[in-house]
Amino acid sequence: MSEDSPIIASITGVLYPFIIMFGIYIIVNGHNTPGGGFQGGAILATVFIGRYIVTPVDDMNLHAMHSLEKLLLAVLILVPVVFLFAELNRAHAWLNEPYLIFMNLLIGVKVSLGLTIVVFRFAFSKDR
Amino acid sequence: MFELILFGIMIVLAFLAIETNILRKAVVFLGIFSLVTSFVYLYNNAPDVAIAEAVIGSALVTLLYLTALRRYKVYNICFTNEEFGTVVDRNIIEGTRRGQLLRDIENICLNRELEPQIVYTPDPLESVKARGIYDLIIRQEKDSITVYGHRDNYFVDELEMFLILRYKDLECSFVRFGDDGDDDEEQIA
Amino acid sequence: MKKLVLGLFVAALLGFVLFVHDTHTEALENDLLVYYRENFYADTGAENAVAAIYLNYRMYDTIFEALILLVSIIGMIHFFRAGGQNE
Repeated sequence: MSEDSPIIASITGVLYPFIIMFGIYIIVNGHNTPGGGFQGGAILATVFIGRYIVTPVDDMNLHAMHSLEKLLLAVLILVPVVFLFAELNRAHAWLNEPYLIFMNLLIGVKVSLGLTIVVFRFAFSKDR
Repeated sequence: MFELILFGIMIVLAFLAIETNILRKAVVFLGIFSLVTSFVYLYNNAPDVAIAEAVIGSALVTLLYLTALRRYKVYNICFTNEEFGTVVDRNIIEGTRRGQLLRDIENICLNRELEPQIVYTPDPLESVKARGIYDLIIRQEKDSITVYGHRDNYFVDELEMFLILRYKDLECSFVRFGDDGDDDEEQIA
Repeated sequence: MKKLVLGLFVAALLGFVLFVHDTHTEALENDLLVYYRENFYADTGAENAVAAIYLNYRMYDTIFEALILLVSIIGMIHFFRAGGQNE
């Protein structure tokens, strides 16, 4: 792993859109095909972490990401409480599929934010 | 049969990851190990687990280990001088401060993103070597110094080149040792 | 010597695990398995049974998993408090 290899940088630049597309595909189709929020979120997180390996710059707003993650957790608890535990899914069966896609999206974004925060916190902290 | 072949590859990779001396190689072996594990999951009809294992094991954890290796590498250097206080070479010890040579070694360590930790001791070489925690042992005898480095440590080669070029008039020899304790003397500059 | 002892220990452990695996005969009742396999699409509208389980039948599990991720990140941030951006 040399510090600034142009080969790795350009190849990773070409690969980014495909990795992002694959992650979003895994998340959105999680209710029909293998995969789901966690797996897709981890794939999305590799994009950010691979970017750190290529160009180690500390320009992410980790604080905002952390706040967003807390907000997503609140939504993640609220949606099943309103929809699932109130047994709305039996009354309105057509809402099931949008519910699954939405929950997978929430979990995917939350997991990708969380893993990115973990790695960037670890990489850019001075003390130990 | 296919599964048995995968299990065999997994055992070989795990053994290699433990036995190799270079950490970066061990990380790569662990990444391949996770990939083979995900094939085993796929073979047993668990595509969900296979995706998670492939992404976490071979991508995320590998990158995390590489980040950790880049960030934190301690390089233990032991400086031993059995006649401490009787002979003073200004290249090595200036009064109580470390001399020019040790400062240079420290600087090239920092350039390679290694964290140098230097220990001074008047103990004899055998007892220092028996502790087995030092990556590099520098021994001073009167005016000459001897550098002991592990055979698998690629940084010792760089250090050797640097010392030969920088200190032409210093009597300096290099010894490589392996795990079993046998030495091979290399050259005298 | 130490390596030999460790190797023997690992080999003995492997033998023990394989022995237990070979002689183990207990099997769980699979009522729940049959129920999930027959009814998951009608209950949840998901074609992937795994998604049906972790987003509907076992929702508490998912919620607390997400909570664990958040808690571990909070711990991480406090552990590395003095680093990077705050300086």
